[in-house]
Amino acid sequence: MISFDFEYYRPDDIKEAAEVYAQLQKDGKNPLYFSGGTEVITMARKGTLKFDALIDLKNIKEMNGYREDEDGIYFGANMTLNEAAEAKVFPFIGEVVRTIGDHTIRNRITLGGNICGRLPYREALLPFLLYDAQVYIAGINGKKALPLNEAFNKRLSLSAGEFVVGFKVAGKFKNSKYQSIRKVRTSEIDYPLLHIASIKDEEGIKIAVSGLCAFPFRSYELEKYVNGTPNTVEIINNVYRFIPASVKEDNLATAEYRKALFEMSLEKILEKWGEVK
Amino acid sequence: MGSIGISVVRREAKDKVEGRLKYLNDYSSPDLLYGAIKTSTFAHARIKSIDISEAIKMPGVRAVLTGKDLPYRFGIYLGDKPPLAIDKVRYFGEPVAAVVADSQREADDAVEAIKVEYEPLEVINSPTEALAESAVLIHEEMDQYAHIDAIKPEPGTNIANRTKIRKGDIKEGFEKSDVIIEETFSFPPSDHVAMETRAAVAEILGDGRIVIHSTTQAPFVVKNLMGAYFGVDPGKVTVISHAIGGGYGGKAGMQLEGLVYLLSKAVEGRKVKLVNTRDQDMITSPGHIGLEAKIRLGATKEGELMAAEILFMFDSGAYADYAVNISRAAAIGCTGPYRIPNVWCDSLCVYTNHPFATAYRGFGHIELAFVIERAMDILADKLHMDPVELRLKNAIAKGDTTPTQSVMDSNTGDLKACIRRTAEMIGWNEGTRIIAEDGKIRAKGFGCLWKAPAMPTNTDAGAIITFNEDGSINVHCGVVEIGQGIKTAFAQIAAEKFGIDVDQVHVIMDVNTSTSPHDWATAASRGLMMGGRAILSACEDAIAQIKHTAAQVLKCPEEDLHVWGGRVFVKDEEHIGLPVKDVALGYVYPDGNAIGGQVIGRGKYISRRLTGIDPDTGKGNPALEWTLGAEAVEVEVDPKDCSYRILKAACTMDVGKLINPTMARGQIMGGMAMALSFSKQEGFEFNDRGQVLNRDLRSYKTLRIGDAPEYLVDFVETPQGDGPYGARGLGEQGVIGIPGALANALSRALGVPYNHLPLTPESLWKKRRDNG
Repeated sequence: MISFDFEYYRPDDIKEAAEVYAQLQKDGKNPLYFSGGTEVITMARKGTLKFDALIDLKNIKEMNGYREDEDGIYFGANMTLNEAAEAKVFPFIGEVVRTIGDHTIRNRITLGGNICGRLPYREALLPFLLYDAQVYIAGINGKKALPLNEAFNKRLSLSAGEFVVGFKVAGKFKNSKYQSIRKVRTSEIDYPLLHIASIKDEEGIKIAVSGLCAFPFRSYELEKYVNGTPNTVEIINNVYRFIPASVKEDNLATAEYRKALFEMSLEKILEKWGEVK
Repeated sequence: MGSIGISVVRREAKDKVEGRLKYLNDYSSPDLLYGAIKTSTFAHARIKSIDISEAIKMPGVRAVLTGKDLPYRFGIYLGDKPPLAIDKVRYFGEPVAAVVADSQREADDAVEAIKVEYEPLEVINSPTEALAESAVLIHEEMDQYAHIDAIKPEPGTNIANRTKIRKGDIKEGFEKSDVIIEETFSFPPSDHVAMETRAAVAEILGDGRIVIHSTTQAPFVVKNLMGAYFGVDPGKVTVISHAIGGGYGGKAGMQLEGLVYLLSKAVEGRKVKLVNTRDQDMITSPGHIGLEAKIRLGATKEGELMAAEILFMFDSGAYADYAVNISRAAAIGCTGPYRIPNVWCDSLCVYTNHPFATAYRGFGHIELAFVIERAMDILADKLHMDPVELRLKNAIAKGDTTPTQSVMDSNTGDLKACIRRTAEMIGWNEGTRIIAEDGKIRAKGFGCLWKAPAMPTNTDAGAIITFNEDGSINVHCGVVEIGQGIKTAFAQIAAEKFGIDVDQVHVIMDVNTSTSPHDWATAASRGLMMGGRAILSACEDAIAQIKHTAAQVLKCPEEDLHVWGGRVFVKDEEHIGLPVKDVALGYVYPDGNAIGGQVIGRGKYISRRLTGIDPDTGKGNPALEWTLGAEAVEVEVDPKDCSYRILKAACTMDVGKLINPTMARGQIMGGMAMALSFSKQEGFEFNDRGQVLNRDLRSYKTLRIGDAPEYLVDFVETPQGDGPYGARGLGEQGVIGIPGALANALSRALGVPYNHLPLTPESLWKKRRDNG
């Protein structure tokens, strides 16, 4: 049971959502946006998340579904992970998000929630980072589009009152080859000890990682090094120079095991790219 | 018409799959009040103060209680546990205060408003720490605790019970051994993770009668303990058990019932409901025992077992509950199903500052089997002998003696046949370690099982049979339906006896201690055997009454009559007879005269020729029957990161006689799944302050349907002479050999001895690296 009272709002459009947020903040309240609600419910129940008001974004139409136009494919932030997986425009997105939670919970978790929530893994982000997606961010001053790789650094930089509306991926990525490796402690339905997602296109190999550090990342330095170094052993030996933070140690795994998993998985991915021309 | 050996669909199946079956927390009533408890944030601490002044003033709050209000000590064998902590807390999650309010919301809010101040004490995080000379005492007043004779606490230490087994001459046994292995084993405390969390509702009526509805496997134990703890007249206590969403031992003994009764008493007897949240069910209520163990096992070079020296140090957690009897059961069966002439075992139940332990499927046997089955494989390695051959060579059989020096009688199952069949199913002879082209290793591991019920020598069951106008039968028995399908099996036993269709037998699903015949408890896998015997005896009693009335109508001696297929008739002139329905509620002559009255079959069974055990040697006859079996596991391991999949799990069990093949298979598969989950990935993780870090299902991971291996189940049927139609218990046994079998398979795969559970990939990887 959630042991505290809170207000609940369900705006119909972006403008209204931002205004409700601004008003609540002006009134000295602590509002929170949400969409699927899986984190909000479990964390509030446990007392690790407190808020005075919830703003439910599910009624905002332009955040729902996906559509294709001449400059790419747009994914609404309200799409559930199962919807994103079943959309099939980018099978790689399906491959990655299908590893999050179980089927039932993926009926609730949304792309926006997975990427903007409290849990640090944000695995749905990995393909969008690799696809150089645009992220649409809305706030009191309207909507803007930013390159995701600039807007995301450890977490998505959102100002107070801002929220993610959707993502856009250029159609050219439909042809890029992809692979991913995910490692868990014991149960597949658990957080990743390591999740490496990788694509290969005319620019070379691209790599994004979750679970290894306290936040997911895509490192251009790592990609540059990998694409310029033919020897896999050499890459593995030097790889931590390009990892943006220390390797995580927690109840799920020690840092040494995570490192071992990372090294053997990266090696496997590079091996496979070596076979793909 | 035969009903035995047929896979009749369980009675509650349709309601269960349609979600219509009602569990206790589904019931509500307008006059209900709600309880909530405040739990300790420390694993070991003095309670400096509890401030309830805010909570008591809150809206809807009817009562707030702390330990000082409740001067009782609970404990099924050893009275060591206050319902709410008094002066100090002994584990993380221990109840320290309770609230009764008009709604759950108000009760929960009031709990938040209770302020407790603690002064931390040194925390004991393992049996080894608890047994150290300098260890702090978790129970300083152990000498004042009441306990039953069979339990031997050692005041001034942290030992709640010690059971000794001394069989043969251990010194001589090792002298005759050509090969001796010595190993240590361990696993942490864990949880049952029953789908339904524990719940209880209590009310005290105007005339002092106490009515308790509970998610209990043991309603008669609860009734009895209510008398023992509170001095209430047992006839004034009614305990009602409804459908149970998984018991696994965790709902035996006294759970929430004592506290919820005290909460009701605090609000003038009004009806109060107390339901565990998931985290409370995991750590505040008791779970699965932990273990540290040492073994020395000796054999001749031909592989004949000569001596076993075993030390069990069970992690009971903060209170004794069932753990003192689990440690005793583990001593009684310490050798596993093997013939060993010389045995020395000390089995200690040790207090720690962990959540406390209660019964868990297997009750001492899953624990002892992990130790002995790993030891057997280690010994086989050292002997350069096939582990299956070593097991076959030493398999216990009729005429051999158990660790308590009791002789295995003519009802002993055929363990060798089980071992051979399991080896065949798992493909043992086709290779036990195969490296695939992709580098993955497929390996197999073996583990045998045995189990006897650990129960009082006078354990009993009762049954009543009544009749309906159409001659159909109502069966009333005090065994609780906890998902094992027992009520359906009972219907089959009664139908078989009367030679009628099983649909003509109705079983009463709920158990009510005021109206159901006495039954010890739905535990120890004894329900089928003992309840089955009581039902057969009730059938015979009813048949005698039917014959008595029919003999008058048919004008023949009673002994010439036979009851079968809905008729009572003269044995040698079958056409002379009557429908049972014309007799069952009294026979009415054409002129209106009636005779006989209704038939009420009374049946009972009490365990036969059991004794306690000698405190110095363990000698005695405590085992009603031994169920024997053999299990095996096949894994596929990635040797790089040591991640693995379980491909197959196999079990052959000598069940005496199959009553319901599909349900028996289901019980055994369920047991294997539970044990695979336990040994692969379960176990509480503690920090150095004794706090449980994985106390929710987000972090405590059980096996999922997608992780399930292919299950291979088969049976051997060596009749249990005193069992109903030759049947013996099989409900728990599927878990027992699996932890050893899994550890053996992984040890074989990676060439490293794995003796500690859970077998997570990282733990496998680390051990292999540390072993070079």
